[in-house]
Amino acid sequence: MVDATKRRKTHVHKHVKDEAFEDLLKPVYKGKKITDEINTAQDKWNLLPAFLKVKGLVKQHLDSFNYFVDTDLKKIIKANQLILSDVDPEFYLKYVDIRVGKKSSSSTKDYLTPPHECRLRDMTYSAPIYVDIEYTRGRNIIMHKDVEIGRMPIMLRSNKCILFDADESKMAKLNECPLDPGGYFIVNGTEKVILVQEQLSKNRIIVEADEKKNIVQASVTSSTHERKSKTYVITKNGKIYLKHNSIAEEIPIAVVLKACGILSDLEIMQLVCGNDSSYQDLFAVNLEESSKLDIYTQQQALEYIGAKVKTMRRQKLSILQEGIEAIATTVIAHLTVEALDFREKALYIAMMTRRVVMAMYNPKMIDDRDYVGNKRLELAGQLISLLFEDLFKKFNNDFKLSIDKVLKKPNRAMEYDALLSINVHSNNITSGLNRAISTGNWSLKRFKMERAGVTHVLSRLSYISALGMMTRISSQFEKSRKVSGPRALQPSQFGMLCTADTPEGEACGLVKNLALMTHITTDDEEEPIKKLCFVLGVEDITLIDSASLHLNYGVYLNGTLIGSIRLPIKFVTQFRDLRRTGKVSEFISIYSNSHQMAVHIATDGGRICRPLIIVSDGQSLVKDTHLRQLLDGELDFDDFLKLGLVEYLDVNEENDSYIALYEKDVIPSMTHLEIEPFTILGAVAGLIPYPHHNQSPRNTYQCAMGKQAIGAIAYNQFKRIDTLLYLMTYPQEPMVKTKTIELIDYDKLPAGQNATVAVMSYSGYDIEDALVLNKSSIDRGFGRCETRRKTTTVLKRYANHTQDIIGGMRVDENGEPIWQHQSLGPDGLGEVGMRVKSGQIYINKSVPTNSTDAPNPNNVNVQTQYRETPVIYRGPEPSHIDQVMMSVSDNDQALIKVLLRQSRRPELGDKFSSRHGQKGVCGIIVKQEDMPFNDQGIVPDIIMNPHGFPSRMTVGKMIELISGKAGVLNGSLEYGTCFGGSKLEDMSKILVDQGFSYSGKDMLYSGITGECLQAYIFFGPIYYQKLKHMVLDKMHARARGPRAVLTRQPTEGRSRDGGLRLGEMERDCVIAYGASQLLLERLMISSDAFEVDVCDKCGLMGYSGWCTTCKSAENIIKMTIPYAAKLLFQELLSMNIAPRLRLEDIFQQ
Amino acid sequence: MSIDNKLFVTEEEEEDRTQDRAADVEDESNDVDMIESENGTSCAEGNRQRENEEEGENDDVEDEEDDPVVEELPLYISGNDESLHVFQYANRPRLVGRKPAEHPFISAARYKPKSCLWEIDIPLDDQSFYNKEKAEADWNGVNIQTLKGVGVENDGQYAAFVKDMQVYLVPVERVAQLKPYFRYIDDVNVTRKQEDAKRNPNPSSQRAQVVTMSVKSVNDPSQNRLTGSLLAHKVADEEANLELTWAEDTFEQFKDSVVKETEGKILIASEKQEDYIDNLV
Repeated sequence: MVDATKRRKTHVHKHVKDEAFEDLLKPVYKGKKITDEINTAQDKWNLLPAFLKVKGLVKQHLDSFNYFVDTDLKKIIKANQLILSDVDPEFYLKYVDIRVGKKSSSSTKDYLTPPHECRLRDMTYSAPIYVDIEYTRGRNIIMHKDVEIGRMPIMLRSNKCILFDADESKMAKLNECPLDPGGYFIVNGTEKVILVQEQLSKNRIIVEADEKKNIVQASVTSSTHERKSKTYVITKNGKIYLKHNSIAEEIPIAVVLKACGILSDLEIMQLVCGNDSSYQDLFAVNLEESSKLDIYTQQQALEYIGAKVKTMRRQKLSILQEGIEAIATTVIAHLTVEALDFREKALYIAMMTRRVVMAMYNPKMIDDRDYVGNKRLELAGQLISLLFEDLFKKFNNDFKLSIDKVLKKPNRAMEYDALLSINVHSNNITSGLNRAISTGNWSLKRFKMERAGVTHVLSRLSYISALGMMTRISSQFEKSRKVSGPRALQPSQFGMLCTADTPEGEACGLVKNLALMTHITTDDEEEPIKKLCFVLGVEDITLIDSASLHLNYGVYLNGTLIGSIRLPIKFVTQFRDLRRTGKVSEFISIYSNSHQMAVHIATDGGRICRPLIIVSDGQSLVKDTHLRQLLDGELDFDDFLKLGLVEYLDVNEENDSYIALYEKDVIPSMTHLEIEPFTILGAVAGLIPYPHHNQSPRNTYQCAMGKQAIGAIAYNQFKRIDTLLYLMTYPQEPMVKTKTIELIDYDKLPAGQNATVAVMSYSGYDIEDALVLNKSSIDRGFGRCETRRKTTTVLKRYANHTQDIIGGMRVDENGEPIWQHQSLGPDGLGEVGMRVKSGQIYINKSVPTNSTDAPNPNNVNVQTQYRETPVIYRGPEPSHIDQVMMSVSDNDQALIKVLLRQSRRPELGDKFSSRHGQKGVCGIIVKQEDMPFNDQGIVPDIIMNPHGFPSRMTVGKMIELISGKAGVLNGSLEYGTCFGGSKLEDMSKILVDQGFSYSGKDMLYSGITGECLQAYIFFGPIYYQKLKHMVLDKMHARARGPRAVLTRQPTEGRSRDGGLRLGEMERDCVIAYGASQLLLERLMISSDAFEVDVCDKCGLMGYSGWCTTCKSAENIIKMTIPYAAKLLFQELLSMNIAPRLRLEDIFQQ
Repeated sequence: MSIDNKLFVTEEEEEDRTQDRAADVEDESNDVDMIESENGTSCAEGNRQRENEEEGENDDVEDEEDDPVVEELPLYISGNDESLHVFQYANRPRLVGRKPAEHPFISAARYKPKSCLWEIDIPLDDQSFYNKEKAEADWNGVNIQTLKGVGVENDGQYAAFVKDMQVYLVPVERVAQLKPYFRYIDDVNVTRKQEDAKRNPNPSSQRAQVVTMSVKSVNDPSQNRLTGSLLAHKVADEEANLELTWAEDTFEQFKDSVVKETEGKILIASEKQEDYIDNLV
């Protein structure tokens, strides 16, 4: 009890510190006062902010990284702790401990360069990795603490980060945004996210069937720290074989089992089939296989397998030894046999075989690859862990080689100190980690695995796009494959993965997003759980005889059979009780499978799970008293877990449960209750008001567009110098919010504005979803945004002691700066606030002409010559210089960053969208006077064409308008939360009370004629987002310009000032029309016309009136052909093909 | 209790230190009794009761109504130097007809203490299902069946017997599943292969070959050590067998010694129930 009160006190303390969630946890919230009645059915949603407070939106990344740094690193060190020398048997070096960012002597963390400084100075935000080592020097054993072996990039806001547990004021001091979720890395100044990777679960049996080929196969991907391999048990002509990559042939299953020491056919039959006669009939043929091969003893079987092993070894092994090695370590590699007894292995293979037999007997007994319970998510921590172990092994290997090199020398003057050579290799780990994170290429030597595109640059287009990136899951499936299975929405995704948020097009359904309440587990210890199982009455598998193996339920720990249990239901209940009382980690899942007669316990990392309220005897365990305590700050989410009111269920365990959506639906047989149904959506889909009224693809479209909306990015947005940043000048909080919006703080960093919309036809410039914008609204700041673009210059130093310099500005005869240098200051850099036009210079850099020369030995004052290489501004519109930064980067070179700003108001063609997947471009900008107005004189900001509604069926948008309008009239912000929100009926009531039509329609007057419009117009505020696609960035035309060197045709693309291509299809049209002269002009004259000298005699090309083949100028004829054609002829010539031109006059003279 | 479902379990006493001493084996009829008396407690619960003796039956409270406590028996734990090995005879039915099967006669027992490898020989009944001619012709006149098994360590397994309404628990050191081991086939195979090799020698081995000689240093790095299972097999192959004598009818004597040993000792729980449960999970 004492403990409990203490805990509570600390929580109260925490609340004071954490301002971000304070609003939500305040006793007065959403009009509800401390004395108000608590309604469990409605107020249980308060668990959600409590959950997010503990877990946060990117907590899965942070948890995973923390686990890696605190636990996994130590495991890796332990697994690779010894370095021995081949030369000196006495020598050893042992790693005792490892720490990141903290010395053993000091109690505080090391000082790290703050993340924002790293961003600005193009540095890596990292902390030193210290190891404690113990090694021999001569006869002595020496301990050494805090040896730095490299630097580890640190995930922002993880427990090694200086932002960990920082409050708002500390964040502000460090120039960080308190709303920034963290979870990414800063490598060489760029923010990098390691996306969550989806994979098939490891070390689990998956049974699949190919009905056409009549094949059933059970496969298991074994993964250990050292190796990764896949073992199959497959059927072939009704017989069962074991298949493995390093065994040349498929081995009959009976032979494999005999090799594992199961010699009698009776026992094989017992292990695989148990007492089931139908399985026995199916399996019996396999027993013949081994006697056909004359294999009766274990030795014979091992030799049979040993002869077929095809691994390359340095060490020569006998055939028998090869067989032993294959069975002990190669097959099912995650169960490595260290001793003589292969029983565990035999049981595993027998279980795989049993699953195959079961699927042969009943084709429904197969597993679904796409089922979320069979998937594991690999997070940043696990990926870095794989990489680090690889690098650490390489580091140790290099280290060992250099030790051996020294120790090999027969007579050394002094005793060798191994510590001296450790620092030589430390750069390997640092640069290896940095390179992998900055390029996204994960190459693991020990698995011979290369993976590209693991990391991405954190998109800072808007707060939502950054957040959306942190919850994104990328799949390992190939995008090009045309399969529907992996892309389909799985029922098991419910509540775990967002049902709406997936991209359109090729990655559709392969890239997913986490839902709001999802948690991803980290690895947990297996051993204590195994012990616990035995205590709870599980009989150890090593003691069970084969005959009674299948009489009872088997207990599987992470896919491996550990025992059997007579009373599975009692066992599962007891286990769950222990978990609910906190004796077992809350993330360990247990569920039973009656088809397989199995109880599965999972402790592995990467499982997706979510919290649910426990229901017992038809009653939710969370009562109003608990919620009162939660609101008063006496309890937090973890207390709910500890009290056994809430528990985490993973996908598999969900199948063992009966979950009520709402409290009113609870019936006695139910086991759980949802905390809040709207958590099936993720953070990005949570922005949509009334999404449950929309056609589902519209929500998906909005999820894609929400990430392109321009808005506020972070509180520190004006301190950031990013390559390209879009900011909205006057962003507004939406009139119709959702609970998700509040939870993810979108209301604090919004991306859009509340526009008054009239749904009507106007001017004809609104076809195809085009919008009519009000000019005065634009003048008032609607849709105004700014772009900020960075230019980086490094002042290089060269080997000959010369260096790039910044020149001053050049002045004309009047002492005024010349036009190009108008925006420069005396230091040769643009002055902050100056306008730069296209063609003007804003960094006046010069490089030495002799930088490649040898250094001047005399060092006489020879004036170095410089060549000007200024940075010139190019763009259709001028920009302003916003910031200029001069600093020194990691490698001591001067670094200059100039930020250019451009303020933009909406123009024709700029793209806007509401929050319902309804995008449109600005079709016309109309003067306010000409726009329709209502009785109060309100003029719309946007007129939207009503044709946008019927086919799109975005009813949510209409309700948003009504709720928004009611909110405006009522002076309140209304809610459009999914499966809830402000009721339409209430909103209509407010409208009627305020003297408006219940339907949201108003009577409007034409701005042009002043007449009353013939119909009532649907009129009210809708939240509109300005999307990043703007005309200014896309407009492009060219009359003449650069040409490609090789073909002399105009270059391609806007960025290269390229031409506008008359493509193949356009060409076809012109041909069909017969406009041959147009064709000639487009394809040759305006493109790559070239005058060649053709020799009429030999048909080859000459030059300057001379045919080199005929050695004469006699028959030379000048003609114009495309340069590309000339190039083709020459390329053909180079391939020993002579294209000869035969010339004729078309018109006879 | 599926462990014992179709099996004999024979406790055998074996002293590691005085290795030449005869091993005692109890009569199998006693043995079956013993198992049945143990039937009420699962193996894991046996473990619990060791430390929980004083608290008694608290975990059965909920089941009390449909499963009333009939009798409370005091527990005794021995566990000094009885080195108890349990043999599980896989592939042998527990019952022959209605009667429990008899424990076979054992002619020889071998043990490799380092590898925990048991081998026992059972003479074959050459009266029935035995083809004497074939045995003589093909298999060097085999007349014994060898059972082989690896002793597996266990944590918290106890053998128990009831005497005078008192339960005596004896910790089990290792459990071995004994399975048939056809050494005669492997032996014959080896000789056959050798003969084959002699009769038609490999053409490649006949050809003259240039022999390159090189000196290998003792601690050559390329000379890898065997690890894992290979090492275990090598150790087992190289280890000498310990020939043990099979002794029958020692169960009573064994019982007496256990009773004697545990007499007068009172076990006191060293920790509270909460601590115990905390220890477990």
